[in-house]
Amino acid sequence: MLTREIEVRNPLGLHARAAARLVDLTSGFRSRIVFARPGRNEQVDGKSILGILMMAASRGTRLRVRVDGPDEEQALAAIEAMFAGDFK
Amino acid sequence: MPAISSDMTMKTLKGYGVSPGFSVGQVLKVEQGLPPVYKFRIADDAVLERELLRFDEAIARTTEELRSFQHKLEEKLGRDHSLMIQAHIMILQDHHFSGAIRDYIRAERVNAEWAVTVINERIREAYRKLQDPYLQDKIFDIQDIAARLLNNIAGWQENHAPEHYENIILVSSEVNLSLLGLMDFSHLKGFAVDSGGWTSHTSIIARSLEIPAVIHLKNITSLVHTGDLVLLDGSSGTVHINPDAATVARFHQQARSVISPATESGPYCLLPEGETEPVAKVDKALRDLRIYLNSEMPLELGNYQRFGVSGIGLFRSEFVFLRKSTEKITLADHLEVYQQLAEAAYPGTVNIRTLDLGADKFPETQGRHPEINPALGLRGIRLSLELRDLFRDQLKAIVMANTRNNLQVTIPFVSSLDEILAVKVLLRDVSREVTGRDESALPLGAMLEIPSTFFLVDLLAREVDFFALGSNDLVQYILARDRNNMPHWSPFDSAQPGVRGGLELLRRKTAEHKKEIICCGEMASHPFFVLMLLALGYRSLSINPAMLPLIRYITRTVDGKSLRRFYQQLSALHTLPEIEDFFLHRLGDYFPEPLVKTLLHVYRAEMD
Repeated sequence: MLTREIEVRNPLGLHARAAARLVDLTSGFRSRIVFARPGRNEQVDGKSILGILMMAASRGTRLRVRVDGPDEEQALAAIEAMFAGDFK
Repeated sequence: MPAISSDMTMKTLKGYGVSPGFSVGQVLKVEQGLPPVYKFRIADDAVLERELLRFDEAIARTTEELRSFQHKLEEKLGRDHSLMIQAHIMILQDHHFSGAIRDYIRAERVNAEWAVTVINERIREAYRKLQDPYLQDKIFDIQDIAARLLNNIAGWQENHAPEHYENIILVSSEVNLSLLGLMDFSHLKGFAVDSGGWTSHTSIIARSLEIPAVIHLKNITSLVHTGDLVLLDGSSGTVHINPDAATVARFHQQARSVISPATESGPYCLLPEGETEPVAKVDKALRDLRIYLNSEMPLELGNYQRFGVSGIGLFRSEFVFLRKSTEKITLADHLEVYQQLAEAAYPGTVNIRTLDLGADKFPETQGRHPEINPALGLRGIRLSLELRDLFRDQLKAIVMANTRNNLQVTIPFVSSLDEILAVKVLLRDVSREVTGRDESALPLGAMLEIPSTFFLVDLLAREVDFFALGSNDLVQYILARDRNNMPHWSPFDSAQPGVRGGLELLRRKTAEHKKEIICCGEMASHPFFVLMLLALGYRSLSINPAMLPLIRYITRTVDGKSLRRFYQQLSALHTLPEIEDFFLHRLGDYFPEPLVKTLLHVYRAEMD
């Protein structure tokens, strides 16, 4: 299981298009992927677009991502790259 | 996503009761853009599996639709925009959405339409609570997806014919006519709405369906969820949401002790047992009174005969049009309804009002005439003359159905002489086709509901056989005020000097020409304003069936002298507060106390 804190850096935050790209990515991995906003109890399923949108993560929000499964390393690397590249 | 729990604590709300009666049922919250659904439970396991399959097929179809839309968008605008549609597909497939709906169907053993409505509402609410402006916009996307999905479910054949539907209480901000056109009335047991007035569509339809309605509840749409149990008391205007057992028991007891006004011995109907001809009792000033009923479906008049009814004064033919899409409406559809009507009302007469809708309800005209202000737009006779073939079919069907010689045609929204002349040409044409004679085969009437008719009534009187007063629209167009717009609406607008003047003029002019004028609007069914109409000399009233006993009670209690004194005083009042005070506190100076008490009770003045 891997855990990492990452920051939403694109100007619009985790809006619909960004969330769609993220879910498109996470759905390709077998590992379980969970996001949480630090300080909030709720965890959201990283493969659910409704869940991702519910975080209402605007620019500057820090998120904790937890990846657990056979391809966890590749998954985490891909997620980090997507956040770093502003969901392009 | 956090679990979304419904708040199940009991709440009691108070609004205005506008249609009496008691109902127990489950909330169906209807929001803009979503079609109304129904609910039934599925006992059989095999049927439940088929229902899930039916739902999965609808998901597949909706996905397909969105995909092809996505391709189109991608070609035109590029990948960035088509990703929005990708997001929609993902929402559709999301286990918080379709997954949750599937779980709900299985756990609650209900039909797919109902489950979609419940889950859609829960997600929307969860998003709304976050108060993030961006997510508020997403709510509309989810709504849009749910609407698409519902359309696709409805497009499939029903899985089985359920024996037992649940009772539905419709909750909405305001009910519009097109929504009601989609509704299956057989499961509808009441209305509870945020806004509305005595004459709004909700109130009118509820009274004519004889189901209870409570309006002006302000925020009931944000306090209830689809599926909540509610008790509705349309008399006192009380709504209990998620009631406890004691409240339910008390409610049932109350409901048993009060009899609906349409039955013989209800609280408003004081006809002594065995008396069948109340008309004989009326004062000589009211001897020539004719009472008709308003209806939107063929009505057996037999039940109403003991109240002395002359026929159907206003048959709203919109329902013939709203049942199907317009290109599918045939002459036979009209004919079937009008034949039933003529038969059921005989020997009474029936005034069939031709199509009275706005162009916004018709796809054919929507594109051609984008209407900024439908209230002043292409509606009523204007629309009929535009959709001429459709109108011709309607007129021809009425002429063909007139084998009993008891049908008449009423033309809505007349604002000029030209319209009536055009109708007469058409009516003569279709009459010739049906009867072979070159003359109109039935009496023609014009609705007086636009202020221009004040100055046209002499000209119109030469062309038509009778008139109908459309008081709802007339009040709105005189005052240039929307009756559904609560903050600027007064229940006493109907008695304002500006409105009274118009009513006096129309009564005088039509009497000069010796033409019958039938009061069809809500004024004639209103406990206060019917007094005003009678005092002004109007002698033909067309009312909602549920109000018949009340109106008969009024007409056999008042006399010419008291009506004259009443109007003399009313016509000296010029401001709304004075008029309101007069109706709420001074009626006792003119009419017997039990009548006044009943009127006030119906008006719910004592509640305010």
